[in-house]
Amino acid sequence: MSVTLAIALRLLEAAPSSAPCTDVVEGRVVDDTTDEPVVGAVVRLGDASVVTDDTGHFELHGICKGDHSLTVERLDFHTVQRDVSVDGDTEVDVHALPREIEHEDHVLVRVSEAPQTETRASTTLEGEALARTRGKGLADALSGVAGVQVLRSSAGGLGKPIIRGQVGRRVLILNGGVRHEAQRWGLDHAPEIDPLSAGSITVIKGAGSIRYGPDAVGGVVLVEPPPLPRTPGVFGQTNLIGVSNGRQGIATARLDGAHRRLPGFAWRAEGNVSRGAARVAPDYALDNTGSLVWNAGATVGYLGDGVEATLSYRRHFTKAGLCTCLVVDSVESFQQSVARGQPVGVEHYDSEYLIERAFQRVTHDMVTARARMSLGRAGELTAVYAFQDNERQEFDVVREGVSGPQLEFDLRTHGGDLAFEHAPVTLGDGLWLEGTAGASTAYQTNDFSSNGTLIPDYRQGGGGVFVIERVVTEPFDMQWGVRYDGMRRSSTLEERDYLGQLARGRIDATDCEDTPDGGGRCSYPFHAVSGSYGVRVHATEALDLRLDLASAARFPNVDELFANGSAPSLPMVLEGDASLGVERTWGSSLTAAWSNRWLATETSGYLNYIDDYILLAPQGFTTTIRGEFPRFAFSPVDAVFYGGEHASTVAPPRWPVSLDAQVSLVRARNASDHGFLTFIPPDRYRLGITYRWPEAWRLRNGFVSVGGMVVDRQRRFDLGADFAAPPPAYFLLGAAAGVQLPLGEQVLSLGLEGGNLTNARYRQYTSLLRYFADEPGWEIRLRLSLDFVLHGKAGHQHR
Amino acid sequence: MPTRASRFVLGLGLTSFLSLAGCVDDTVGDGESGADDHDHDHDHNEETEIITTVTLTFTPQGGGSPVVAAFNDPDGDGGVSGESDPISLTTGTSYDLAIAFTNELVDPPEEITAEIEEEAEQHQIFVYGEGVSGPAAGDDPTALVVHAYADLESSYGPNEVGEDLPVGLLGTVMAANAGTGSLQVRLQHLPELNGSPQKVPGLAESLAAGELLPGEVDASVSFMLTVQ
Repeated sequence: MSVTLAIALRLLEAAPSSAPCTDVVEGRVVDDTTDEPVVGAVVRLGDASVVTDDTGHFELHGICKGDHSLTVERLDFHTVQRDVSVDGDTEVDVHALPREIEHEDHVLVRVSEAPQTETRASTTLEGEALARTRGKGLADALSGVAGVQVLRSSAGGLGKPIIRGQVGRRVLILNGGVRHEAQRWGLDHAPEIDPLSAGSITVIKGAGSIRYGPDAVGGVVLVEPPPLPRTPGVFGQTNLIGVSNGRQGIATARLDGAHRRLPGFAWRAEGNVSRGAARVAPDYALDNTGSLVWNAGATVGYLGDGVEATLSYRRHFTKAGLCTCLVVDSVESFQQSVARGQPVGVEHYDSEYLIERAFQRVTHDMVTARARMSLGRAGELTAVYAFQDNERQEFDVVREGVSGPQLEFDLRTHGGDLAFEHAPVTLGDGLWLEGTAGASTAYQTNDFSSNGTLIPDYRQGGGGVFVIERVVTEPFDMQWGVRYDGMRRSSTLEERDYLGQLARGRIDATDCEDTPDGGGRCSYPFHAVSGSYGVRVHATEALDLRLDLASAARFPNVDELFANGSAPSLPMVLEGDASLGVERTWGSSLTAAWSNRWLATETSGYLNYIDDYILLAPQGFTTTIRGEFPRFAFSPVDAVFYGGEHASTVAPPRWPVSLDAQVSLVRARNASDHGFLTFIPPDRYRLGITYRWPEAWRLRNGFVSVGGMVVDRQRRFDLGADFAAPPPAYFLLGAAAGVQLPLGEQVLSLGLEGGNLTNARYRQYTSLLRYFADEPGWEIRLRLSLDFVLHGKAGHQHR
Repeated sequence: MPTRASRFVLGLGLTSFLSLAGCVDDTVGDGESGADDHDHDHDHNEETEIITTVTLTFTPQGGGSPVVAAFNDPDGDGGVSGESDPISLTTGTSYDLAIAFTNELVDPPEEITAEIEEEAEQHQIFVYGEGVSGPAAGDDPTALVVHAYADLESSYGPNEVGEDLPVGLLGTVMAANAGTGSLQVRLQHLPELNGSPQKVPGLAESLAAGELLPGEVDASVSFMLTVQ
């Protein structure tokens, strides 16, 4: 996130002041390995400095005649220093050598360059910033980004990311470019994504569904693997991570290879395993919150000149215990538990590795085949096919005679994507047109089994087509896109479910046909057209402005249409509404990024109006065998979400110290009745200070940092739609230190992080645990990471 | 060429990876009460211990026809609300109370009562409400009925853990004063927690005092009560 300027900076010789200073020094900075322009590098000559533009070009005016020292700096490049003799206007071309060539995963800090075409606010975690999140789940890894918070599940401390107040079904996650298909609707269903195998994770904040399809109301998370090696050799990385709280241990290994005699062919094998005992809050253990997670994957690829093809397989497994403290068996005991402030029976709570009922077990398999082909002057074609199988089992506390899971979901998805990126078309001097057109299709089946009702089985098929075009000039670029999506879902309700919902008027019999066993099969088509418009203006050399206007569609999920039964994680009975239609978001955002030699900031504001926002709201009571339960029904309302984020880094040149600050604000309202929405993250503020020490002996990239985070109490809430008032504000203290030690051609990295160091007792408004127990207390996390070369040349493993 | 350090760390990484992976199978088996792995057979044997029906049978101790009242939620938690029959008792009469739990979602209906008898040391039934006096309701001389337990864990099998505590499948109800009120029946599942029994003496008294009980509520149903 932070842009820290290199420490070693030489004082430049000043030219004699008597000479007239009117000369211009101009030139271009290119990447020495790829000849691509280096954007945003700081070029200094005497007192003058400038940042290179989109084409790597720079111009320095008012330069005096004489000999000067020119420096070019960008964090992910080696600083270039060159003597320049100025006598009249002078041209200098600079070749910069990227640091990432040394060890891609251990670049100190990378300038987090947003995707060049993105007109929404976005942040990429990679290199050291990503490494520092290792050992955390996906949502926690992302929670360092402004505008991203965590909806903490009750299972094993896992969670799902909340982007700008949107969660689960309204956040799209792409794993290696493939839409992650899982039971996203469940509040306590954490995404089955392995952040340990990612080479970069990008969060794009804001509504927009043109490129990636429906559902991106809050934003998109792009999880990308590191690139396969292109040069011969066998390279690898291994991490060992230990976490004090929950005595968690994590081991990862990755091996990449390419062979000299088979140019272009490359392979990867990787795996990791993590096991943790129940986590511990300041006053008691969170009994039965242990977890076991493992991932394994293999990829083979051919990276030729005009053709690239990869085939990969990946399996994710999670078994996560649900805290014993969860009491959702009856409204009466739930409310007693909330009032009590501490779970009953904590004296028997302990922190064990053993996972007992209740727990969740999920296996996610994914096969991806991808091909990219150059079509010469026409452009480039990318085709992707993916199959995903998500099997989720939930086990309750039951009598001993009962075995097996109480809820079982099996979601299978076939997806295909085709995208054609046409070659840039020159429209005039310094003005060209870029664009992509594509189509996608998906077929999905969901098989649900339980003795009770909750959701029906369904099968759905659909697809979409899109076009994005972008006009690019030096001072600004502008893009617009349009997309159509269609989908048909056919849901099969068993007899009791079908008759019950017909009786309550939740479905219309004319949409359904009878099945042989007395149930009904109800089919609904959905169609949506979405559009977007974005502008990016380089207002000045330091200021970059982005405006984005988008309309995004979301089709209702199966639970929104047909849920019928008690919710697994809160004491309520859910009720769907089969007449729900497309949820339409009208989003707008404005982002301003400012950077100069010592300051880098990004500020973003947004306003989203959601037409027919599908809200889960209380509607009366239902008497069940466990007493009266509030009935929550899905119904369409209009909603408004607005807010902003700010992140800034102050890193004075030649100072080893930098400061980071961050603010995230979200406001959400039901525009139909002006009520507040539930589980909207409260305001969050962060402040951090980092000290980077100079290279000493062989230790590189050493740093120590201390940071604090204040999360306010959510003051905007509706008690009628929730079960307890929001918890008070809290402050968490964190600290981190890290260093790298080159060992021949290997690099050993050590990292130490501490979380909640004051052992604060707190509850999080966006955590399902908040009704029952405190969040975990202090923890120390130790990371040991080794990048190694088994054979081949170091420094060429990537790109 | 690899350095010695890299071989060491790689070896360490792979060793711990394999040893952790070795634990996977053990852990997966844990906590499932010896269940087989159902990942791939798709035989969908999930068994929810659903209770749809609670039946109270009041048999007059001096003879006569029993009073039967049931709570029934025939479509489970979703859909329509469950309903209970009113209870009508006669002043001055003592009744033997038998409570039965059934799952009528399956055919033939499943008797949950037998499972509770088998796990008598992990279950307790509480009878309380507006108009009830007894261990779970507190002492109230003006109450319509007085409830007392009439069974013990040892009534259903050997008492292996802790004290021999009441279960509540059987009880006595004395109709003391005429009037109308409500009678609440709650079945609490109290499995051992980390080796310690959660079913301990005094739970009924804790409930009467308005405290939160350990374990889980398996059933909690309310009946209209009239004593003539």
